[in-house]
Amino acid sequence: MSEQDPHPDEAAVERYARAFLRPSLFERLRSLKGATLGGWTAVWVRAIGSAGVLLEARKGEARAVLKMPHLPYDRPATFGAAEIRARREALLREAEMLRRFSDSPLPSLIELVTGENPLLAERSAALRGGEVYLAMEPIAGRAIDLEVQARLRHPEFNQVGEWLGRWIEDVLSFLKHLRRTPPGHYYTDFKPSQVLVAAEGQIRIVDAGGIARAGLEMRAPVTRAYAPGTGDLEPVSLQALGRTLYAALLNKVLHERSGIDEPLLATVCPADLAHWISKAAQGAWSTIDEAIARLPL
Amino acid sequence: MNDARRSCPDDGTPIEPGYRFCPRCGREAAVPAPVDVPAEPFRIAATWERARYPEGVDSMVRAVLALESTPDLPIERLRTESHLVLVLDVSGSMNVPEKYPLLREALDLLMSHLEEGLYLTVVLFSTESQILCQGVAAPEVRRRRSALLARMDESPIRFQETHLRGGLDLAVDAVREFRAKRKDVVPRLYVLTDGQLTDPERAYAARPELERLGAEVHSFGFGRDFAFESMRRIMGTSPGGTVKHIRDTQDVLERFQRVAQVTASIVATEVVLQMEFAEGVIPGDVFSHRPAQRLWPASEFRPPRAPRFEIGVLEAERRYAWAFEARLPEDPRPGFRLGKIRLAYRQGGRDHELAEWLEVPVAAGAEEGAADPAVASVFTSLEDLRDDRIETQIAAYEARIEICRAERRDPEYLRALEEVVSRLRAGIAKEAIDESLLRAADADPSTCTIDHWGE
Repeated sequence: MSEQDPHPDEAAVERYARAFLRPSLFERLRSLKGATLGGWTAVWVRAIGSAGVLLEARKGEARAVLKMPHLPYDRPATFGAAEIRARREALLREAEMLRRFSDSPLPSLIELVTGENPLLAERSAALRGGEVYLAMEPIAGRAIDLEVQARLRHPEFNQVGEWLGRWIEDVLSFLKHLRRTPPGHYYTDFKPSQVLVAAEGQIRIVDAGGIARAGLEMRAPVTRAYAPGTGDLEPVSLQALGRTLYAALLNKVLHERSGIDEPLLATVCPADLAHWISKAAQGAWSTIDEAIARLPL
Repeated sequence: MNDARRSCPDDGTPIEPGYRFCPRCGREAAVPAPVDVPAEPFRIAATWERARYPEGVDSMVRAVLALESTPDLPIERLRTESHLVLVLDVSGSMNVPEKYPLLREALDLLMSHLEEGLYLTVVLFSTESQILCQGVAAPEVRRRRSALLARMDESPIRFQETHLRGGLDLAVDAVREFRAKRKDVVPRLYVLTDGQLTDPERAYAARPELERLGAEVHSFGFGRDFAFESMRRIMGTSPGGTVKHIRDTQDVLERFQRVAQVTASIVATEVVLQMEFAEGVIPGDVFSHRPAQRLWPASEFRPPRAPRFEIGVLEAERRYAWAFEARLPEDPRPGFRLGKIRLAYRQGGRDHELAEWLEVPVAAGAEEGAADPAVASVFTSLEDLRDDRIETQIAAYEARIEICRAERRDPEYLRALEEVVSRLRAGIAKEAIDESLLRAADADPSTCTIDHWGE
């Protein structure tokens, strides 16, 4: 397969763009294939997130996931230099998070590079040439909801409590590590697409942009269907985790007002875990320590 | 270029420039005596959303362009001949005292006041369709109006189901046949319907034909149970494209008189609006605001920096408005010219052009000025057009259905999506769909930011 051929997974990204964004945006992003971005060659469009576009990229033998700012490139009049710079700053912040939490479920940062952004052809050379690219470790795996559903359908994975409990423990341990790191960090943007089950079976969290910093920033990143509440970062983070697990176990697509049905949840996982997840999803755990203390082992 | 166009000496059909003889009759083409056209028959002016834009900032600028004919325009001498095609609903729901008798009276009034230079076609539709009259000149319409109304009253197709497609097909054929004889006459089509269509899918399929027809298409919703969304979908991007609601059926009398009046006020044809953007400017979307609302997305501009918009015709004493947006270069200075606007049109047998520079009120070191509420409200009213194309909405929901099926996702979510698509396909506007159903179908996976209280 040449670098210009469509990658099989790219069809899913194209479908996602049609479903939630605009086909014209995907077409613009696809035009990057073969382009050199900060020394990396773009191979295919891997995902379109809310803040960033992920490209599979190569440099010699090395492979990386290259993250660049997500802007409405198909509607160039709608954003200006200020928006471009703000998105770049967000990526720089994300790189800082990846460096700070290098030994965690987040992907490893390979390098932070700058270079030309061919999608800003109408802008000045200075603006066009200062694009920020994060080259990150590629993670082979599947979104937690798809993985859980596959496991629930498969007799080999009938010990739901075992693997689910281990995943929750791992995530809580990561959340604790985040919180301990000054000034206090919180992962507030849990949703099924952010949580991957890697090929080796461990939990990975793919987007460091979902981390909020206490005290330094007044706004926190969330997806409203998973974090419908407001308030302190810690319960918001735990509620988003709870709703993510709830959605994954019941194969639900949640919206902001989706309710939580604990008896239904108990039909697919042990009752004590169902209770813990329901409580989390309803925002009942106010601290990570409380959530850890109440987790059935 | 102000060339008077030659025409066939036999039937007046215009002949392509450069030909001396009519290719059909072989006789030497007639050169029309040019009509005396005022030096400035139209005025065009831009109103910027903000009184000033800061120097050295790539601001998004938005403006409304208004075009009006000058008050002393000699309409009698300049107006073109027109072919008015009415497609009228005579289905069962019209068979009530506040509908059919009023429609009949309105048609009577329209026919009795039809001005010279107008030709009339009337198509009736119910389960079947029927031509009441086709391409009849105004004097003859006036003379035969009682007979035509009697024929309508006795029509065997009346008061059955609402199948619009057949009526549209007859109307399109009538426009084409008339145009084959008289290319110089401007066709204009009006559809009046009072209820939900029995054949929405077949009627939607007529859209490409209407868009290719090169005639303005307008529609009236008569009474309360009007399929607004269906009509909007059927007309698509046809020139004209207004959908007006005659909620109080008494108003149909006035509306039909107005139709006859405006169709007799066409003073310019082959109208093309062109915008030529300066170097460094990033063109944004352009909208038609008046008389009909329509979006021309920047992504479809051809060529990208000098898009042309086919406007069709201009009527005297009507205000036309277009809205546009653009991103300034990164370092604009006072007196910056965004570009040039050109309006090309044909009037009095000659081609004309009106051109204006668009100078942006960039001010040295200034903060952005307050928004002009009138301009801002125009953009607010147009905003929905960007994502409001019914086909775009349906395509997005269908892509969600594909994802849902491919990934074996939530059956409840799938059902909600399928239900929304089926309602949109039936011509129901998104705003009229049950909120809880939409909430389920519109589950948003994107990240936003919220205020937090810290720790």
